[in-house]
Amino acid sequence: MSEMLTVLYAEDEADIRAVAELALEDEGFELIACASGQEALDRAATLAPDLILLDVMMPGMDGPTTMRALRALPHLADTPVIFMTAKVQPNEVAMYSSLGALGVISKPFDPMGLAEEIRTLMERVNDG
Amino acid sequence: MTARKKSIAAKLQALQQRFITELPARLDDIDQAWQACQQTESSDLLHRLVHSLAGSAGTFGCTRLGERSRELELLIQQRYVSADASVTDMTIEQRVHELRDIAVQGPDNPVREVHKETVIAPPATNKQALIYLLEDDAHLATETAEQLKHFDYRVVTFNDVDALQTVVAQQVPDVLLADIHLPEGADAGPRVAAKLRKGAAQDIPVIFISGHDDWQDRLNAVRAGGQAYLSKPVNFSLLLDELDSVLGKEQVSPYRILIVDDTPLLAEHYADVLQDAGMQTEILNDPVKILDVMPVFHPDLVLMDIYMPDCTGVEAAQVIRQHPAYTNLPIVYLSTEKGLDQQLAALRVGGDDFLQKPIGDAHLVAAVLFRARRFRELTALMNRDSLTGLLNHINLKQALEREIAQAQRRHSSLSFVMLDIDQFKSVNDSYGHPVGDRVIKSLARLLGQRLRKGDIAARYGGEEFALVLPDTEADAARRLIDDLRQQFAQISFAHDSGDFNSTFSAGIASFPAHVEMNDLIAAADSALYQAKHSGRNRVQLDSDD
Repeated sequence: MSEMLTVLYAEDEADIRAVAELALEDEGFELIACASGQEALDRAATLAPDLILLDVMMPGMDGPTTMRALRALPHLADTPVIFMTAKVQPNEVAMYSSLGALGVISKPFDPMGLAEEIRTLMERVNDG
Repeated sequence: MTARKKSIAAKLQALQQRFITELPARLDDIDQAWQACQQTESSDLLHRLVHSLAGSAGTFGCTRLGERSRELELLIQQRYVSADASVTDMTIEQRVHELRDIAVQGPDNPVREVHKETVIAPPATNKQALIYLLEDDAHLATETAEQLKHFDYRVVTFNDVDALQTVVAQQVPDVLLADIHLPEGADAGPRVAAKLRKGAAQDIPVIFISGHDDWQDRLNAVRAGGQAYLSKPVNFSLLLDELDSVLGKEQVSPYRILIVDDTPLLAEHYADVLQDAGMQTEILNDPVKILDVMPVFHPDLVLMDIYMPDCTGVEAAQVIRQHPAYTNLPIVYLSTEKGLDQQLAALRVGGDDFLQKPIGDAHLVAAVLFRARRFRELTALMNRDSLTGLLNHINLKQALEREIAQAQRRHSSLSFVMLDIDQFKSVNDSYGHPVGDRVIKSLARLLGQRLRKGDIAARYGGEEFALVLPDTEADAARRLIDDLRQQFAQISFAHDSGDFNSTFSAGIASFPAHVEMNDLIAAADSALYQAKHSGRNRVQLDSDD
């Protein structure tokens, strides 16, 4: 998988955004990092990301709300979504999947392994 | 670890530091949210703050803090979302306090340490660069090849275009040196060069040589992508300069950047970023010490925070400027100041540039590098020997003093070499001063080529040179200088009355055997004297008897 993947990313915590940027830069990802779900939604109008990466718990629009709003945009109707969250209950993963998410990356994540984790999840899309 | 992983680890460490610094404030927020929650029964803010800590603490190496936050988050959910009355205020209160106790203990799973690699005097090696020379004048071709060999270049000569093309198809040279006028045509050189450059997978730098120094010739050279143009008769010193520049072999010791910022975390981050870009840094968290550090560290640039508790960066810059020696030193301010007026006011009193925080790594490196380089270039014009481009006598002493201080701080070694061309007076007398100058220049160039980054070479007097070799024990220095001696003896200098060779003698003394600068110089000088007296063309250690 050598082509550049554009990722629309929403995370309210600046520290975690910085870590994700570090972890994905030079790894074949172009990360468009937003500080809120609303910002992601605003920017999405002019973007065609290959993947949407959303923190679940954000003030204002939370991850699932942001996902629904993004999916309502015709050009993002089929864009895969991955949630990132501090996993609280095992059934949450199932819940997010039922919302139509491709998968969940649990926090805390290993910065050195994040790129790989995303690629593995993305392969599911490519495998059909 | 690869360079990339290393750089990521360094940045992660910086972020981890930031996380830890900001942790007490975050815990205060959680405390307050908990107080508010008890009064309003609205748990949203508390839930979010705790959840967020649960998600981030682990990434920054505080695993236990992350786990406990998650447990607390579950309790909050149980109590407020599931309305489970078995979770009491007391339980939550205890858990909130517990977070603080854990936080105080710091990270339990720190981000990987960055290994700072220490460089221990590697042998000065020069990967032989491959040069193809396209020249139909057989005599010039031979002479050029011969001269370049002494400077560690591998030269293959071609007298016609076809042969050159065949060989380039098999192996691309590091540099193509081409005559412009050839039997194949008045612009045969540029034509073949352009064709080869177009066809090659990698860039081939081209230097043109021409007997007709005219506009059309020069234009042809430019259009064929030539990086330099030399007219015949070829001045070898110029040719060597051009080769150095084409091959990027100019010897530059790392730029030294003094960072003055009262926030240690930020200062460390800037230092990491600049070090990754190959610069050397020194951090001052208190501007009061600036004048003590400057004469020792000799910065090429000062990166100055504006807002510091005891004195502002602008005031500190003015104090620096009071010293005539630092009139030209670039001072770059760093601040969150957004107002253009304030920025201009700061620049009026002695700053050179204004960088706004937060600043991207690439922007910081570019802004600093550009100004440090300009400063070096200007200083070089003022401080260097015009014939050789090496440091002059006065600046050598300053450099030596600085390097001794560094060696003392790092508990490392250092060798100082005095080197003198043998019987130079008779070279001047027999062949004339221009030829003497060529001999001096050749030795200077050889030194420049064989020394490492960070080594210092100076023209000490007429035919006398001095070298400062940091991190180098006396024995290693002797091997290096003896190599140089043999190499120099092989360079033949052309003269109408026949070719001749020249030799040098050298004396070496080392730190810490000699701690004082003047002792070190005297010891090297007396070793040189011994080398001269025991027959010249040799290297003498001060510790030998």
